[in-house]
Amino acid sequence: MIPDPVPASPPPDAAGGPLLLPAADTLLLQVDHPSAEACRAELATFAELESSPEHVHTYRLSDLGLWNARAAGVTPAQVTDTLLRWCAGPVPHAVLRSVADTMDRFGRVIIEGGAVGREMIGGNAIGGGAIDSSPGEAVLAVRTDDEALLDQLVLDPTVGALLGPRLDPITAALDPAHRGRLKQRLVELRWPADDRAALSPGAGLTIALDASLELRPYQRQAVDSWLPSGNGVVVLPCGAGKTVTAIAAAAAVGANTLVLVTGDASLQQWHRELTRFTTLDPELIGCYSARSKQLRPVTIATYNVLTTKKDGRLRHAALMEQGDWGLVVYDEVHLLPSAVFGLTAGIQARRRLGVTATLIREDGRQGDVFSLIGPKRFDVPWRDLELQGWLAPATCTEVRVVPSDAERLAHARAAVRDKPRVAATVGAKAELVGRLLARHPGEPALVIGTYLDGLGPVAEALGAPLVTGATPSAQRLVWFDQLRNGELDVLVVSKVANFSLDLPEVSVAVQVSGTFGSRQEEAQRLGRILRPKADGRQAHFYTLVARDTVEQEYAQRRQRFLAEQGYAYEIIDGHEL
Amino acid sequence: MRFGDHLRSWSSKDLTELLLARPDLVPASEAGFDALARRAATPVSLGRCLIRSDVGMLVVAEALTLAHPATADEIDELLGTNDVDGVLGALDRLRRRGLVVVEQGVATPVGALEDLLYRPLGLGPSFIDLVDRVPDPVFDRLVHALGVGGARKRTATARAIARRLRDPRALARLLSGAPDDSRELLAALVERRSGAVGLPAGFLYRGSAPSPTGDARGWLLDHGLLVAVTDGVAEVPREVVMGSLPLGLAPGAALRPVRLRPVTGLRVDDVTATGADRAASALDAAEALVRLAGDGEIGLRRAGGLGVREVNRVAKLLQLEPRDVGRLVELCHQARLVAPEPSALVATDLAATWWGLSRSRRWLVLVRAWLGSSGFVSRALSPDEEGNPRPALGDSEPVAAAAAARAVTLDVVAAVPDGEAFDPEQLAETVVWRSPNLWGTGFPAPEELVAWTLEEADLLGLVAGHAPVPVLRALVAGDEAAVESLAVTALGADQDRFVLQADLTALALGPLEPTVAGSLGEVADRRWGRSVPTYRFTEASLRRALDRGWTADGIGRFLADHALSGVPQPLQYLLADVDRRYGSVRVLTASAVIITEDEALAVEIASTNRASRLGLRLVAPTVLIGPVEPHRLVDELRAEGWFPVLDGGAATVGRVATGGGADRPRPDPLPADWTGPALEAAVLPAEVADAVDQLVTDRAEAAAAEIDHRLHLHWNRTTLVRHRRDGHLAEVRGVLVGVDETLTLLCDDGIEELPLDSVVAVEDPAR
Repeated sequence: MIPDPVPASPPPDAAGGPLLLPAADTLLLQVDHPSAEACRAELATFAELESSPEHVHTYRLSDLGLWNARAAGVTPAQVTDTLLRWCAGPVPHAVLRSVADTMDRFGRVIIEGGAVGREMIGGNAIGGGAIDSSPGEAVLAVRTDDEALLDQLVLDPTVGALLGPRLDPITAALDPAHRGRLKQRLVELRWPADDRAALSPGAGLTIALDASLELRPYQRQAVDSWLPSGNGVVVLPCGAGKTVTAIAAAAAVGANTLVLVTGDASLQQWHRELTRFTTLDPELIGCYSARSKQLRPVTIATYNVLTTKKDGRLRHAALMEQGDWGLVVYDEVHLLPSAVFGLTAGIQARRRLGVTATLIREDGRQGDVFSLIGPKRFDVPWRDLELQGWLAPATCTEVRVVPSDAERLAHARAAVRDKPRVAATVGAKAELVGRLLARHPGEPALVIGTYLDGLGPVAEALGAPLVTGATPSAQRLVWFDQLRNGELDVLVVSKVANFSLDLPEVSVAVQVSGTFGSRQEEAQRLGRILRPKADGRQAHFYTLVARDTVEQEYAQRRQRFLAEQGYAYEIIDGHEL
Repeated sequence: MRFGDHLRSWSSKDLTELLLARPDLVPASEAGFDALARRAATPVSLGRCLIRSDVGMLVVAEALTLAHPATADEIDELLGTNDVDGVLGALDRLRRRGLVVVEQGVATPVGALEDLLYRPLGLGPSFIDLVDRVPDPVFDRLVHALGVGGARKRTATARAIARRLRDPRALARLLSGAPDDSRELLAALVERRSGAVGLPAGFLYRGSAPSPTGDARGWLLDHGLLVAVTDGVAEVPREVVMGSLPLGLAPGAALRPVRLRPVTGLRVDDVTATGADRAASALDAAEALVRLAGDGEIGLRRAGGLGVREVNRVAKLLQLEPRDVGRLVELCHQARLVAPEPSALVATDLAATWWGLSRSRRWLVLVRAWLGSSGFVSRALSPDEEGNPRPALGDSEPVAAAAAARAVTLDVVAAVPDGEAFDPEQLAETVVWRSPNLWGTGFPAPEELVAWTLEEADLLGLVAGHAPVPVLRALVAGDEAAVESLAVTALGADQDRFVLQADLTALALGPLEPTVAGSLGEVADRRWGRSVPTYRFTEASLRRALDRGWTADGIGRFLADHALSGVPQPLQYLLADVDRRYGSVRVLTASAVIITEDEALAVEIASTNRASRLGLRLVAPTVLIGPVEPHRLVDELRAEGWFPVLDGGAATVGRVATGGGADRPRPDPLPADWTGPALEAAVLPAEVADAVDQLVTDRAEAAAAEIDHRLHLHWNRTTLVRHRRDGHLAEVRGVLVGVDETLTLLCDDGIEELPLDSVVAVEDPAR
C-alpha cells in the first residue's frame, strides 16, 4: 500500500518541545517546560489526561478522546498541527495517520430525522428517500457517507437486527426504540454515530435563575458548549459548581427536567440549590426516592429508586417517560448504574446532560456514556480553576498509624472480608485525629470514614456530632448549617457525605477509613474541601492509614491516584505529629 | 587499441567505479593496467560482472556478440528496439564495467565475453557450427536440395548456405516451396525461441515437443532449416531465426529500467520520524529478546529452531507480532547476539559487549549483520513448499547471493528522491531488471525476495512509508560518518538520568543507558513501552531488589544519583517501609523439624555436640530444625540417648519422645515384636508407608547388588563374614541365605542377621 501524502504542516516549534511521544497512544508533557501551558491547552481538546504528577503528565490518545474532540469540532489537522508543533522530536507518520483515521470515523454514520408527525427540535431531515410512516410516529434514519459502509454495518448481526429497511443505497430506516442500542453497538464497532436526530422539546417550563446567582465564566461556557446538541457530558472538577452549571442548563432549556442523583444527600442538596438559585416555586420541585414519590415538573430522583426491581422488573422505569421531560440530568454520570444505561437507551429523543468530575469509570463503561449520554462537551482541568482562584489549593498527607499488638493480632486473625473494618477501627486513630485538627485551629473540618465502628470513638473523642445514614435528614441539615455558620468546628461524617455536600469553608478533611482505595471516593472526598476559601487559605486532606494492614495496600492506590492528579502528597508517621 | 591501453586512458573516477563494480579486479590492479586488463577479460571475471549486469546491458552485449564490431545504430537495428539512446546508454554502462570497448562509436566485446554468451538472445549455434558435425553424405544431400554449387570446399559451401539462410528474401523464397506444415513448424520453433537473456536457455527443439509430423520435420532437415545434432535432437541455425525475424531479434527488449511512478508529497521529516520510530522499536524489541534469551526463557523445539508455538510464546511475552519475533530471532542470531543451545536460545558472550555499546551502535550492529547475512530473516515463519510455516533458526539453506540481492534492492530504494515513495511491485520489477541473473532459479521468486528485503528494511527503520530514510542513503553511499551521525539522531543518545515522580513512577525522557536501565529494572517494574520506557516502584519491586542483593541505602543512592529532580518523599517512605518489613518473616532451609513439649529438653538437645555437628538450630522454645534427613536425625538422636519417633503428619517432622524423669510424659511402650521399619509402617499413613516400603525395597535391592558386587557373596555356601560389632571386628561363619537390609546366615547356633553397613568382608573359606 502506498502511503497517502501527509498534509503540509508548520515545522516543529523547536527540537526541544515540551511533548514526547513514547508510543502511538501516549503523550508525555514536561510540565516544567516554558511552553508547557500553551501545549497543555491544546492537548486538552483531544487527549485524555491520564495522570498529572509533578514533573511529567501523561496523556492518552484514545478513540473516545479523539471522537469527543471531533464532536466538539476539532479537526484532524488541528490535532496534527498540535503534535507537530509541540513534540520534542519528529512525529511518526503512522501516528498522524492513525489520529486522522480515527477522528474521521466519527460522523461517517449519522442518525437523523425524527421530525415527522410530531413537534421536535432541530434534527436533519432524512436525506433522499421518503419514509412510509404512520402519522404521529417519529421516524429515524441512519445515513452513511458511502454504500459500502452501510453494507458493512448491516452485515453485523446486531446492527442488522436493529436497522430497518434500506431507504436508498446509503440510508436505512431506524426504529426510534433502537436508537440508543444502535449507538452503543456502533461505538463498539468503532463507527461512532453523529446523532443529529430531532429531540423532543418536552413540556415547557420557565426556569429563571435567581438574580443572586452569577455564573462563573467557565460555567457559562460549559452550558453554551452543551446546549446546541442537547446531549453530552460536562466535566468539572470537584468544587467547581457542577450542580449550578446543570441548573443553568435546565434554565436555558426551559422545560420539564428530571435530575438523577446518586443518593438522598445529593437529592437534598439539589433540592436546596434549585430552590436557592432559581425562582421556581418549590411546589414545582419534586423528590422521587425511597421515601417520597413526588412527580413534579422538576423532579429529582435517585439512581437507587430507578433501579429498584420487583418481580425482576424495574418498578419505576416509567418515570423516565412520565414527565414529558425536556431534559434529563445525570449527576455524577461516572456512577451511572447499568440499569440506568438501559433506561437511557430508551430516551434518546430527550435532551441529556451528564455532569461529573471524572469520566473514568471503575467498570470501564466510558463507551456507554459516550453513546448514550453523549460526547464530552466541556472539560476544564482543576489546575486551571485553581490558578484562576475558583478552587482552593490543597495538599494531601497520609499519616501512618501504628496499631497496638492486640490490634495487629486481631487484624491478623480476622477473615479477609473483616480486615478493612479491623484496620479502620485502630484505636490510635481517634487520638491522631485530634492532634491533626489541633494543627488547624479555627478551621472548619470534616472527619470522614466508611466504618461506623471507627467513627463513633472519633466523634466521642472530639466531642463532635456524628452524621451517618441513620441520622435524620433534618438533623443533618442542622449540623451542616452549623458547620457552615461556624457554630461547629468539626463534623464527623460517614460516607453519606462522599457526594454533593456543599460546605465551602471547610478546609480540613481527615479521612479515617475508605472503601478499598476507590479513586472515585477519593476524588469526591477531596472535593468537599476544594471550594475557594474566603481568606484564600489552603485546604488540607489527611488520610489515616493503619500500618501493616490492608489499609496500607489501599493507601497505595489512593496515593497513586492523588499524585497522578498532581496533588502534593506526603507520607508521615503518626508519632511525628 | 588494446584493452589495457584503453584502461590507461580512464579517469580515476572511472577506474574507481570499475573496481567498485568489479571488486575481483582489485588485486590485479595492483600489478598495473595490463594485468588489470588481462584479469578483466577472463571468463571468470566477466562472468561475475555479468551476474550483476542489468537487462539492457545483457541484451546489448548479446547483440554485440552476434555482430561485432558494431555501432549503436547497427545494434538497434539488429534488436529492432528502435531506441538508439537506450542502446547507447547500455553500451556506456558496458564500457564502464569493462565489458566492451567503444572506439569512435564502434563497440567490440572484451575478451571471452562472446564465449560466455554462447546462446545470445536465445539463438542457437550458427549453421557452420551445426553442420560441422554432420556426415558428408547428409551434407551433400543438403547442398543438393538447396541447389548450392558443389565445386567449393565444404567450409566455403557452408558459409554460402549460412549467408543465404540469413537473408530474409532468400529464406522467404526457400520457404515458399515448403509444405505448409513445415512452414508452420518452423514458425512455431522461431516463436518458441527463449526470450531469456543471459541464461543458457537457447533455442532447442527436442524430440516430439511440439510433435511435428515426420514430413514437416524432414523437409526442414533436408533444407538446412533444422540440423540434426544427435538422435532425436535438432536445432534451428541462428541464421534461420535471424532471417525469419526481419524486424529485429528483440524488439520489445527493456533497455531501460521500469520508470517508477512515485507517490509525491511526502515530507522528509515524516519519513525520518517514522523511520526513527521503527528503528527504536526494532532495537527495543531486539534488546528485550536478547534479555529474554539471557534469562533462558526462549525454548527451542526438539528438532531445533523455534516453531510457531515457541515464537507465539515469545511474542506474547514481548507483546510483538509473531512474524516480527521470527525475524528478530533470525536477526539477533545473525548478529551473533543469541545462539541455539540444545533446548534454549541463549545470549552469547558477544551480547555482553553489545550491551556496552551506545544505543545507535547497538542498532547499527543489527543493521550491518542484516546487510551482510546470507539469508533472509523473513524466511522465518514464511510458508514452505507445502504451506507449513518454516521455523525460525531452522535448517534453512542460505539463499544464493542474498547479500548482493539485498544490496541491489537497497541501492534502488536509496535512489528514490526525497519526498517520494515507491510502489513495491514496481520497485521489485526495477530491482529484477537491474540484476536478472542474481537471484538464481529456485524458490523463492526474486519478487518475493525483494518484498522480504523491503519488509526487513521497514522493520529496521531503514525504509518508512515506502520511502528511504536518510540513514539508508548514507549506508548505500558508504558514508560511514553520515551513517553514525544519522543513527545517533534517529536512535537518540543513551541517557543516564530519569524523572522520579510522587506517583511512584520513573520516567526516562529518552533511551536509558543499558546499565542504568538494567538497575532501574531491578528496583522497579518496567511498563512495556518503546523508546521512552516508564517504570513503577511497588513494594514487590523493591522487595525483589532486596532479594537480589540491593540494600535500601544502595537503592536510595542509585535513585538519587540518577534522578533528574530528586527522589520524591513518598518513594523515600516506601523504600524505608519496605526495608523495615524486609526480613520480618524469614524462611530457612530444613529437612527435619524437632518438636518437643518440653522447653528444657529442646535446650538440652540444642546444647549437645551432636546437635552442633548436625546443624540443629533452636528456632522457637520447643522447636529445632536441621538440614539432616529425618531418618538419620532419628538415628542420631537415639544414639544420643533420646527416644524420638517420626511424626505421622509429615515426613519432615520429628518428635522427640522424652526419655526419662518422673515429670516427663512417657511415650507409649514399644510393641514387643518391634523390628524397626515395621513400627514405621504401623504409624505412617498408608500411602506414605507404601512409598517408604518401595524405597526400602529399592534401597535393599540396590544395597544387595552392591554388596554382592563388593563382597562377592557366596549363596548357600558356608561363608565367613567379617563385621563390626560394638566398635570391634568380629567374624561369623554360616551358610549365606539372604541379603536384605541385613546379611542372613544360617549358623550352627541359629540364624544370625548382620546389618549390611556393619559388614566389612565376606570370604569363602573353601578358597
